[in-house]
Amino acid sequence: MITLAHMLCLSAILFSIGIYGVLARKSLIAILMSVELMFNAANINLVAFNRFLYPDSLWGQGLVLLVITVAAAEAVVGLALVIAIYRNTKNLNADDLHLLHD
Amino acid sequence: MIFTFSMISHLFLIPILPFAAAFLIPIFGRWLPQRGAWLSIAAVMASFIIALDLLLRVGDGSLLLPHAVTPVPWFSVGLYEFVWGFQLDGLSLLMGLIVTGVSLLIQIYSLGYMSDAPRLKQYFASLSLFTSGMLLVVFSDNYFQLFIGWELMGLCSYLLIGYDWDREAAGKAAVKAFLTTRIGDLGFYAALLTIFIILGTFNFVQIEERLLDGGLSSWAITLMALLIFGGVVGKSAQFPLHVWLPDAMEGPTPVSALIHSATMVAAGVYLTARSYVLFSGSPMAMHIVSWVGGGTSLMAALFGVATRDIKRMLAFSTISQLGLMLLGLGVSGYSGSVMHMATHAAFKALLFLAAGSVIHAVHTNDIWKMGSLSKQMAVTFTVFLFGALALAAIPPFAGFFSKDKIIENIYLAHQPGLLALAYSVSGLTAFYVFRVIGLVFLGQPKERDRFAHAHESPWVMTIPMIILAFFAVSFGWILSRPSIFETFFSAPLHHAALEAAIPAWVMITANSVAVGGMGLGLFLYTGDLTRVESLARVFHPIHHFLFRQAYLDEAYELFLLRPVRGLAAGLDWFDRQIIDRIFVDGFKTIADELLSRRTPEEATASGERSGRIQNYLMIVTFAALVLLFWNSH
Amino acid sequence: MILSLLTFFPLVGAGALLFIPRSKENILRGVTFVVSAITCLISFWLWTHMSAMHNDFQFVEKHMWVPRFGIHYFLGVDTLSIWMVLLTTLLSMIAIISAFGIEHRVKEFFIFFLTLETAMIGAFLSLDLFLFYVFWEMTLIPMYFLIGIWGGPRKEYAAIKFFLFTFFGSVFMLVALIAMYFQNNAHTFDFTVLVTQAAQWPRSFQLWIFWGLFIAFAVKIPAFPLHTWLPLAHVEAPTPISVILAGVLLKMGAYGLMRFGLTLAPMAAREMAHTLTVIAVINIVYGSLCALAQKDMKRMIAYSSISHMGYVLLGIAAMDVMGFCGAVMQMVAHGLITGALFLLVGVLYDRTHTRDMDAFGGIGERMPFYTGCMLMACFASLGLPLLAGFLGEFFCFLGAFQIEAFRGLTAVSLLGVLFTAAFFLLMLRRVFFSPARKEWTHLPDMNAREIIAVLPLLALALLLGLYPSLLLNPITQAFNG
Repeated sequence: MITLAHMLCLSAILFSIGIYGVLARKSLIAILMSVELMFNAANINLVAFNRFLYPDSLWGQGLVLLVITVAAAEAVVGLALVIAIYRNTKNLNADDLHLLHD
Repeated sequence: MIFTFSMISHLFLIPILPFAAAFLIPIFGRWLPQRGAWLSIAAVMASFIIALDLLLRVGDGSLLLPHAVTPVPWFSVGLYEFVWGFQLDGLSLLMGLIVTGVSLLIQIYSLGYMSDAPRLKQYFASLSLFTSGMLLVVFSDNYFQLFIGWELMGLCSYLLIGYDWDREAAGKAAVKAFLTTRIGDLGFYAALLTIFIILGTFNFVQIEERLLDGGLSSWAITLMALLIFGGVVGKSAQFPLHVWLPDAMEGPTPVSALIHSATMVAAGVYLTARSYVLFSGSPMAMHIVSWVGGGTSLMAALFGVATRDIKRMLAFSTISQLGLMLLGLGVSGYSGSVMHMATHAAFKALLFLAAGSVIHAVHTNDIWKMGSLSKQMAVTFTVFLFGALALAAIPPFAGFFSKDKIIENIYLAHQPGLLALAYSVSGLTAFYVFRVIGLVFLGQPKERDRFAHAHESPWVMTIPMIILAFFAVSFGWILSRPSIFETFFSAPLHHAALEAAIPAWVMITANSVAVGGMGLGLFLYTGDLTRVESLARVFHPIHHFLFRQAYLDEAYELFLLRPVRGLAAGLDWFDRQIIDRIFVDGFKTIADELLSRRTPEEATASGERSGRIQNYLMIVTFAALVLLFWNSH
Repeated sequence: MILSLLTFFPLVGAGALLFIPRSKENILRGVTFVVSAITCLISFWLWTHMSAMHNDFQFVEKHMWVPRFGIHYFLGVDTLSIWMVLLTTLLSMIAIISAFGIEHRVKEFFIFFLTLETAMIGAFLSLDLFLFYVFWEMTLIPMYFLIGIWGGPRKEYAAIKFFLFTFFGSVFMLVALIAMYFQNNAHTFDFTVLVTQAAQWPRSFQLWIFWGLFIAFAVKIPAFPLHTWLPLAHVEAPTPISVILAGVLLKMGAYGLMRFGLTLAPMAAREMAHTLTVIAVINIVYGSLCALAQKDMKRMIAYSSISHMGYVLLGIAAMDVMGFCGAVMQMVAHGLITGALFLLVGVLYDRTHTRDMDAFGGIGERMPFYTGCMLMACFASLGLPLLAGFLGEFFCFLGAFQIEAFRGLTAVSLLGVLFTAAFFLLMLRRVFFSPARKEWTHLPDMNAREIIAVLPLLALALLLGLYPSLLLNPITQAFNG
């Protein structure tokens, strides 16, 4: 039997992996992928709550659709920025990007 | 008359024609004869003819004064409607004629005087604009409109004084003139506001009605009168705002003749005369007017005695005569002052033009470098002499009639102090003007080459002078004719029907003082100058003091200009260093201080302020976790 | 329909620009100009078709936007907004003409500019507070880039400072907006609804609202002591942006105060009127004195803007017909005249790359037409009658003077008139009317582009000075509304 607890665990693990990726990876693309991972972890959570707690409602799944769309848009913007950075600096190492400091 | 203007509404054309010319000349001047000079002259001549036509109509009785033209609505704000209103009464008609007439003569004179000057378009456009401004002042029926013309004149005065801007002195003089009159204008501006609040209207007729209705506190009336007088002091160069006029002589001489003798500076006197009903309501204001006028008059006359520049002498003379006019108005002597304003316009303009003629010939303003010019420039000498006789108020020249009227009025007002002042000024006036005649036209030439090169001026310059000389001789007599006197000089409220008997000694003293001054001036300064030199040694300290105009310019610099400049610099410093630093960089500094006490470099090294997003995110995540667990308890 | 068209047409134009290749600079310029010209014509059409009898908002468009929060897409125009919109479209068109001289990254410049224009017009036309806030904030981003990329030596600093300062103020406005949303029982951001309820709100609430709104507007106006971003922004911004900044953006603050500040917190406004007057007087005198001390011409004009907006604030604080008429007149006049001044300074800067007054001399000799224009602009700015600036100042003074409590303060602010004359004349003398320097012997006079940009502004200043009924009659009527 798969219970709510299983799903929540799964999403927690995925979320943690995502956070780790965002904070610790050097490559910008890896960071972006980790962000996607975090989005999907949240999605799993939403579906789980919808299925186990409010089976008659559709709100959870509807919100998932919204999140997927937003994630897609954000991925587009993020990739565009990554490409722009690459064009300008030929370097995608997060440690080397500290222009904010000046 | 060729022109068949039958409507009085053509009154508004008088200021508009020169105004239009002022705009057309800069645009089309390139293609016009003499670069627009003739357009300017044509415009003012047309205005003069219209004014003349009006005069003739008044003369034959077909036009009754005062006459108001139906106002043209301009705009309205709230419930008050602003209009373009014009009125015709004795005062405005007289001034209108004088302004257009003198302006016309001076513009013709300028054709000769300025023939080799650059930027003639600007010159004539400014002259036209000025003329229209003065005409607007003179024919307006409300204070607001008058102020507009007033400011326009200020603009033109600035442009024309600074005309020869290649000379630094001219540029500075222009700025000085504008700013000094602006100080006075602040008073006038405040007067406009105050008048509107207290009386609810700007229109002269309505104001007079409300004043006569009574019910206004004398304090209010005094305030309004004194604020207006502020503007007068500025424009008519009275103490303490007189300092701009001597410097304004940097402008071309025709400009000095028009603006700084005959018209613009007289606008202050005109304004006082126009506000006569208002001023009469406040004895204190009248008192101040007469003493400021009288005091300035004496001061300027003393300065005139000590100067060595022919134009400055005339400038001081103007200040002095204007002071006299204000003195007259202050003692309720409306008729004398207005008449003197008229005669002064004629003979002072004449004197300036003649001075210009002299300067044109000898290329200097310094009277100590001239001499014996009567031989080389007979016409100029003669007209200058006539002007001087008028200025000194020697009968039967023009000034005699008007100045004597003022003195009569002072006597009737029982003001012995002011009477003594007036006598002193008369004597000094005659003295300094004939001093100049002696040094410039008579005696021996001081510098041979200048004398040799001097020659009479061309007819463009001499004809206007001769016409003005005619007026200098006869104007006083003309204006004293009863019918004319009645029309132009009867005071509002028909004040002072004081036809009390004037004892003979009043007039005799006045005339003898004048003749005495003239004689002394000629005696000391003609021919052999050794007498003067010994006197000069004795009077040297006083002379030097007067020559430096009582160090008033220096006083202003020290006590007014420098503090203001210092204040400006101080505030600027305050703005940059204090407000900016506090409000802007201050936040940054506070934030830095609160968060860490390390310097930027140290912070970078420790990774805290690295500029790397991941580091920032770590902090964010950590903080979020803390909040999460904290709240969940 | 027409209002939405007017508002978003520039944005559509910006979109169109995206498709034009970067290298075709002349096409970019042409398209931008055509877009702005059409926008200007639309606004002009709108002006001529506004009914003079109507006191209320006209050409209203109202659609539900976010029903959950009572946010509507609500545009409307009345006599106050139409003049602001006219000023915006006209100045935008002129700034674009002036911007033809920009060579660097032309495409981005015009895209940002047109976006800015949409935001400005939208802000003046919004009648829903949320929508207004959106447009208000929307002006910040293009401005940030426009100053930060095409500006002078310290452009980044100026851009950030401008952005943060204005944003700081807007935050207070946001709080006030949200507070009003919760306070009113209809739970809406609709201005027309809020106005009817505003009078009943408790006094302390009104005070909070007023200050929230006022801080935001005060930064924009700019009112002392939140004004320090302006000199920097003006000095560093390129000429066309300075024109827009001075001509339009400053007016947004004053407009916001008039439209929203006074109406949504009437009790508070009346109580605070004295404080506003004090701030206005400080602006006037302090601004003009600081201007007197400047060496950089643009910085001097920036401080003169602070001073002139002080007059506007004085007129608004008076809260009577004359004051409002004066304030609006001064807003329009200042926009035109200061816009012209910045363009003219830009003319000199383009040729010499310096704005230091001490470096010049005798320009009057070399560039007579330019001198004439500068003379006219300066005298208009210092309030010469028959030019628009005089009437604005005069009625602001008169309005304030009518209130007994303000008379002393108003009298003090007259000094501003004197100091303004001082610094303008001193500038004219130092730069134009002095003996010529040999470095400047070969300066060419204004070229066609510069003349076309400046002349309409000066002509309008003269026109409004001679015939102010255009502006004043509708305002007088609107005041009663």
